[in-house]
Amino acid sequence: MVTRVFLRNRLALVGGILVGLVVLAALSAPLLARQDPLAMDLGARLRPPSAEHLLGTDQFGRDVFARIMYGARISVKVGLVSVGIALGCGLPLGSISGYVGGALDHLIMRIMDAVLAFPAILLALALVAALGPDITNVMIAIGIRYTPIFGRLARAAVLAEREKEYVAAARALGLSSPWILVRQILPNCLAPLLVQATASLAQAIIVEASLSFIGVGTPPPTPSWGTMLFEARGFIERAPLVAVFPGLAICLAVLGFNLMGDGVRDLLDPRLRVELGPGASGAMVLAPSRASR
Amino acid sequence: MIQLLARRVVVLVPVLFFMSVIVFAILRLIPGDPVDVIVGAEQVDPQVRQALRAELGLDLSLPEQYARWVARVLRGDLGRSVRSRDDVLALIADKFPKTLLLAVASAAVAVLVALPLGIVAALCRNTLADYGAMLFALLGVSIPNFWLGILLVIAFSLQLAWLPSQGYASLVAQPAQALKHLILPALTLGLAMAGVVTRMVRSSVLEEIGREYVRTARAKGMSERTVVWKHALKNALIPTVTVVGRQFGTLLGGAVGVEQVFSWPGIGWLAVQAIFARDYPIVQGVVLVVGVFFVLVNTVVDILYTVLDPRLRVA
Repeated sequence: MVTRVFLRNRLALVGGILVGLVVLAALSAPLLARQDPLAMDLGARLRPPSAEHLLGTDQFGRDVFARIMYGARISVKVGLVSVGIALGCGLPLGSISGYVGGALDHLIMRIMDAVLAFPAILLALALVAALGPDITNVMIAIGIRYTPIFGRLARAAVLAEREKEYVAAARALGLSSPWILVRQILPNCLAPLLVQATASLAQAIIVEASLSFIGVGTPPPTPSWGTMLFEARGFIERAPLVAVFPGLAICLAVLGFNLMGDGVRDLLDPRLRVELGPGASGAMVLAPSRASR
Repeated sequence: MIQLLARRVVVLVPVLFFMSVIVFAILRLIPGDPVDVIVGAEQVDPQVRQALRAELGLDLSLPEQYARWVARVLRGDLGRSVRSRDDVLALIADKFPKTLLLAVASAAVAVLVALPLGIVAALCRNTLADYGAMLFALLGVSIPNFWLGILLVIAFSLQLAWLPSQGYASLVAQPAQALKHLILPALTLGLAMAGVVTRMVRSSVLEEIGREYVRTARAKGMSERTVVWKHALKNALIPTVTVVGRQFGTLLGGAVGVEQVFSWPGIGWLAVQAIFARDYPIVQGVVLVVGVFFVLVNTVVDILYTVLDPRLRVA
């Protein structure tokens, strides 16, 4: 048991370190990268890793290491903003739905079911296609698709809290419904939402990378990891490494957020702890959302 | 049972309604005049623009537009491509089976990998085998599937030259060729899904072997093999069926990126081509068909779950 706990914490620690590295890369990209991520050098195209270019160069002779460092900014920004949008919309909608109940509850939840019914990438793809390929629209599209996940969680948490005695006491004291919901109930509902937010960060990063890889996400020449893979695809025969490093970066970031998500879950809400073994965010993420990524 | 089916269908109606509103809204979300976006900078005869506007229903009020669009969709008319003039439903009917083939093959890969792995992980809990299986599962949910596809292409197509890196062949006309083309994309999508399924199998086997009926069976002197294979596993597979079913819908979404990697001419590939061509009727058609299919699969899975687990029928 002690080993298990240790192992689990150690994995959460690894997750924390990976996330820390990604955030560090995002914050200090200009310091860490010696080259300009947009500077082309057509004389040095598709070069292998060297002392000058740590991870080699791409098809325009741009430094891959610099682009990956700056790419971390896009991933972290997309992750935080889109999950922020989803939480910012899902929390009020879900909690009002759960607290008020009745027809309004039905209406809100059926709309949320409909949004959840589309595979995440496909809905985000269609929304970005309509709104225009642009990083802001990518974040809005991911935010919309993930809103119901937070909405459902908030609703379930509010439903459970609503019947408790402290709420009845607050009502008896004559406090208004908005006051009770915001000041009394919501603070008790935040743990599962925070756990979900960490797990969703990983998914948001994957969706952004997928959209950019398809060619409708972050437009070139902005260095996004997905866009780098999109551009590298045409050159994998000549320089396979150009397609390896950005993918590795996505993978490590997503792994970090997944592991950290498990750690946050264990820390915040022991009730949600699932006996799944090390690094098991899947079942927890799946259960409330019904549809996954 | 009929009551259950009826209840499920009634729940579906509002969801399908709001889904149709979302798909309808895609064209209307375009900033400015959608016709300008579709024809782009081309110098187009005002009459042609007017005809396109009428065809897309943009000359009516929003409720009228929606009513007309839904009426057409219910008749099976998803409109025509604004570029090639092909019937959208026919295009989808041509591409959808190819994506479905990929999804079924991927689900098969996932089950074949995840079942033994999850069972071994649960039975050898806290051993190296368990940690290995869980590491595999963790990587499965963390590796973006299109990148895994690229890695497989680099390894098996470019370096080893064992399998084709892209393309599609008909399973009926050229079965051997078709299988060769199917292996890498199916592995790509299947391994990612196997991560989620492995965790589910492991946790449900663990849950079952901790139950009292298993203890009773052991106490009766039943061999461990019979206890696990005849009793525990049967019940452990019920939640697994649900996860596989739910993930099946997700495969259709995941297929969008993987179809790009392998130039697999499925429905995701069709949608992406349509987006680049600003051919919105096709985009709407694909999103609608995949969405509805996703909901129907989930409903069938829910019903199946109830059929498999009699305890839920009462609840």
